[in-house]
Amino acid sequence: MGLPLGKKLWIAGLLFFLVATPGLYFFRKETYALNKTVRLVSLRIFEYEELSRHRVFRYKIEFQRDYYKVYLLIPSPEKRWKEIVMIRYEDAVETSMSGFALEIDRGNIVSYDWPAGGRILRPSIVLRFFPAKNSSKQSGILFYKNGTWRALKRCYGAA
Amino acid sequence: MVQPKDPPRSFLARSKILTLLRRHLPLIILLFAALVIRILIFQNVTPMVNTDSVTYLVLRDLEPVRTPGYPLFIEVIQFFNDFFSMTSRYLRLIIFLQIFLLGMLNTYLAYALSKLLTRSEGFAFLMGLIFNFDYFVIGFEFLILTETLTLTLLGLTLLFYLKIFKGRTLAPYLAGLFSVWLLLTRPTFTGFFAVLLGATVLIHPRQVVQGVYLKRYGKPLAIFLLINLLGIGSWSLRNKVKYDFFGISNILPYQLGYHTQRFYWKYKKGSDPELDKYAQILIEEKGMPYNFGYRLSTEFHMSEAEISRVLMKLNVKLIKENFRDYLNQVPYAAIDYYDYSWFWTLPHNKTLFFQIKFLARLFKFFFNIYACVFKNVISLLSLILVVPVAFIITSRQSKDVFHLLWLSEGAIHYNFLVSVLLTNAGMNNLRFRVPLEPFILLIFYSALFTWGRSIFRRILKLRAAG
Repeated sequence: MGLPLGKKLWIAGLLFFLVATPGLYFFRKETYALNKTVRLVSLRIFEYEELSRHRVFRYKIEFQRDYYKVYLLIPSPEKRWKEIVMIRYEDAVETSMSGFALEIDRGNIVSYDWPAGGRILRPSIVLRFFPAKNSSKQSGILFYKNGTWRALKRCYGAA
Repeated sequence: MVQPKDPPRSFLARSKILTLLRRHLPLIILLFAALVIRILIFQNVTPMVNTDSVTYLVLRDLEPVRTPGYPLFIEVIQFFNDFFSMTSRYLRLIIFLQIFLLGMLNTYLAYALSKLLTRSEGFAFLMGLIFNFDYFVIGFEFLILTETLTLTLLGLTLLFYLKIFKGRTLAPYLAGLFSVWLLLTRPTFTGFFAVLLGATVLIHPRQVVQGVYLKRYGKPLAIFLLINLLGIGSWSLRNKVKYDFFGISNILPYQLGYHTQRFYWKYKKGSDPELDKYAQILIEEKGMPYNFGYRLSTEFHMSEAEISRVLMKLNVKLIKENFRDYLNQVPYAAIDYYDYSWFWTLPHNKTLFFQIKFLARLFKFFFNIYACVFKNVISLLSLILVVPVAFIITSRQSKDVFHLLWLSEGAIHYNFLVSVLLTNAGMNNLRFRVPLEPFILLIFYSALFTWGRSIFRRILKLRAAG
């Protein structure tokens, strides 16, 4: 072919990318789903923190085994929680902390609640996620008592 | 006789690389300087989100007011991050790519477009460098907002659109794709493809009438047009299916709401009882479009599409009946658009400037100059109108420069008109100018350089003749 070297390299790179990505996806499907779950949960926490700051609303995010729900506090006299969205975790990812809930008010996480463990008094807690078929591979979000939090690349220990 | 030996292949390869490096030395130095500036900035900024940026973070949560261009960019980054488990600092990863990928690309575009305008490597190098000292523009690289990506896509669209006229086969496809990505990043650019085509037709009237132009460029321009129409049509169709409204975004009534917020109480009741009912709510909410939307969704359980339709009807009626009030807002919107401030980066500036004192001094130096120019009506008019018009007139002999100038000026004034006529949102208007700012300055500096160079050459000629 009379193509210049640069163009040949571009085409070869593109072909490699097109072939390698689905191949790699097959091998890293579990990790990808796990990372994506933690990422989406984290980004949505950012979102509700900012919305609660801007709109002066109070939100609650409640995590169940394979989904989580977001509630908005309706400021009527009886003050009830209204469910605004229910989201499933990615591709059979689960959490062992079913019932864990956090409340966001004016841009900050103001409380954590976990029916199984009662009111949380520890300085920090990790919300762990793992693929349903392989609970040893874990990732999660570390919440500190003061309301700060960060996503973790990997978690170790029992789910 | 002894035949001379061929030089070894490794020697040839090395000399090829050296020639390549020597030929692109200014660009390499420029990119290296841009990289150093960005490393200094990146390690001293903390990514933050604001009310706008959170709406872009998750592609699948996209609201109908938002378009998918920027969320798609974020999603691609996060896809590779999820795939290779690179980092759990998601916001930092986004700004990393914005700073080091888009920022460097924008530096290259400033260099390439300057070179096209002046055909001077040295000037292009200088313009690339000056671009990196314009903190008003590069400050947006570490904000999770659409400005930096818009600038990249605008530059790429212009560059590839120009390449169509050089006969490059791929150019119409790439120009079309970048233009679609641009309008899906910033819906105000929906009509930009028409501006480009219009400018091209306008400056080649004779060739267009004689049919020469159509014969030579008809096919690639049709491809460019078709890709744009397909891009707009497909996203509009998706919105029709998902939200029951046809259009790339339903943000327009909300943006117009910032204008009508100034005279909402002048609504005249009596023509349509249903619309009057909604107008009463708008009056109760003091004309605030998002509060109005919230009331309609909670009290009437209306969908996003229905709310935007009602709001649009109210806005159109208000503007029609109070056209003078609407027009009175336009000059203020224009002043906001051409304001000069570091409002959007303020939360970062103190810490960042403390860490990068030397760079901060350069940023402040350019800020003081530009603030003086933008805040003075006469110098502003010189910058955006007088000098560009004079440059266009003096460049009419140089076909490529003339064409590029018309296209860039088309982009600058198109964005101004759309932003100013459709919104009146104070600091938001200022933000809408960011992607066009480098083009405004580029044309101004290029004009001064070109005129200076031609005067200098004439003096040299006169001296030689004398």
